[in-house]
Amino acid sequence: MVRKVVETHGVEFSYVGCDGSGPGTKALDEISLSIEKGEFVAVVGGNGSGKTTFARMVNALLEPTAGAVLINGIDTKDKECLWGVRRVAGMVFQDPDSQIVGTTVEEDVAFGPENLGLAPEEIRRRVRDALLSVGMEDHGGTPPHLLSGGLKQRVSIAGVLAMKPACLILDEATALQDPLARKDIMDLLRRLNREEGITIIHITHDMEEAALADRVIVLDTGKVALEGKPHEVFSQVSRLRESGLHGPCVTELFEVLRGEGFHLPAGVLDVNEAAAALVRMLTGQGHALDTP
Amino acid sequence: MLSIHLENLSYCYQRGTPFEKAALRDITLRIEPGTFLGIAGRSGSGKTTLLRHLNGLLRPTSGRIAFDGLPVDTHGARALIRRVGLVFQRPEDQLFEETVYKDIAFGLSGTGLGPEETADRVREALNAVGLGEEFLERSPFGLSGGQKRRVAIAGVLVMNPAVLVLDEPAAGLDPVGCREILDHIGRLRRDRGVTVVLATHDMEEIARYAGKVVVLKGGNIAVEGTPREVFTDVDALESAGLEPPRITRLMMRLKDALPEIDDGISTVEEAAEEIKKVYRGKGCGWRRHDTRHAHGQICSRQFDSSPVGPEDEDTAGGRLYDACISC
Repeated sequence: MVRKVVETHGVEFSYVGCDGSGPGTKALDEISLSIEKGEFVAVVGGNGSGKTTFARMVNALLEPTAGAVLINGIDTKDKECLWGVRRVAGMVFQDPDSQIVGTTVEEDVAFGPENLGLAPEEIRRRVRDALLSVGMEDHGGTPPHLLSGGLKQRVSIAGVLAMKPACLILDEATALQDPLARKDIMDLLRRLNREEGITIIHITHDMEEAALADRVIVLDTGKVALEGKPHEVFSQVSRLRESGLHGPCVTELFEVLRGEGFHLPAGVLDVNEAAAALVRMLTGQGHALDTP
Repeated sequence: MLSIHLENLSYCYQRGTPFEKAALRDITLRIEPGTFLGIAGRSGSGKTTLLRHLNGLLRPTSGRIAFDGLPVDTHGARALIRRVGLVFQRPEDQLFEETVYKDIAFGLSGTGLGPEETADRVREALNAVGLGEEFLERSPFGLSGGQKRRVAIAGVLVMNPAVLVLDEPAAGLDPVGCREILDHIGRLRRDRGVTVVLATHDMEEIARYAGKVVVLKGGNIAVEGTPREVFTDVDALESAGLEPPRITRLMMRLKDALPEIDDGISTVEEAAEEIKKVYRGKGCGWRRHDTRHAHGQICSRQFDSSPVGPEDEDTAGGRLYDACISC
């Protein structure tokens, strides 16, 4: 049993440009990291930091120009195993319209399993399960283009789930969604992660979402700039700024106050935790450092 | 300057078909010159439909929309509509030129501007979206998603619109880039009096920039007012599927324990000021502490974090070890 779903060793990638800019600009530069089975990892970084390129490496849509990407131990350069790689790692894109092909929701979700050559009953079962997983069981017959953006994104996640991947890569899949749909998708991802053990690689600009992951990887100009648990990463405010990011806003508030000498815990991510620490400080019930 | 008035405006998609869907119902809204109006609402609440009326792409099914008092179908209004710049959702999809320069300059062709003035305007627009001049000769198709977005926004800014309408401009941009662009748009409003209409899901963006907010729900206006009025109307917001900004939620939580807290606050900066004010008001001030190390712990803290007023010195005295500048 391979523990590591994704392993990269000194991965580099340069886009050879239609615009004369590459080769030379490295979209990824010496990326070495690994993602364990069952992990929930958030990948964050400014525009052009290499997040999408990284996602495409994991799905073998792109091959590294140097180094190696191993998915479940399989080298993505091995053409024979290409489909194996893609069945391990399913990709969800930012814009659901770019991956919805069916004329009804059911048909769209069935597209993947049909192409695996599964028996009709199995396809039906998978479609039903996938639609149940994303809460779209009542929309099976709806043409996807009549759905709102959030519902469409759920359909595209269902389409990937129907392939039973070990790992989901979401390339800013929440970026175009409204707050409730985002929450929905995050809850869905956490459930898939906890209950079905699916490894999640969630690429996002939303630091509040990243704060929910087990681990946060910050990319900056193709390199890993920071890596660690959310509270470790988000307490490094100035380093994040350099990478075009800022932490969740309560973390920022605490950093501002800490910068002025208030003794408050670092790396607080959550509104409730923050409120508790501030109330303690302002009412003098114990001192602010008591927070875990 | 251009004012846009909507009166009992309704719009219905695919009218007369089985898919008929009312997207806007009875919207009355006045967009006065120089305002920064935030339009919030869930997906499908009618934000985009509303925005598309603002530059005449859609005509109301019933009700009316007027530009400086001229109904949308009049000849006079058509000229005014050109001064409304609409940045579509995912504007990067409409990039098409060979170079970034040509793409941004496209809207200026046919306006009679000379090449030098065109070049100046293009540079200014590029600068406004935080891209350097090295991008001018690159192909827009070789850029990252966020860079494309910026080029596309520059292509609208270059027209110097009197009303700038943005449909979720920040979706998919990195946080710092998004702030850069919106800060610039805020400056355009301040310095040149450009009216800005911003549709977004992001309450933090509205908190930071908008002077007025309209929350849409199912094609109706659910609540409208200043950000402070709207954010503290939690029930109305939640029924529209939105939440107050996190900082406002934090302040509301604080208010439960500390009634003097202002819970209408929605940005980090205001919150820091408010917390400092309350802290000082508690009588603890920035005072030095030089006695009573009750726990004998190492004092590395600059301020006393226990609110101890003169009158409760005795009861709270045991907590005074909390801060220490001197040791």
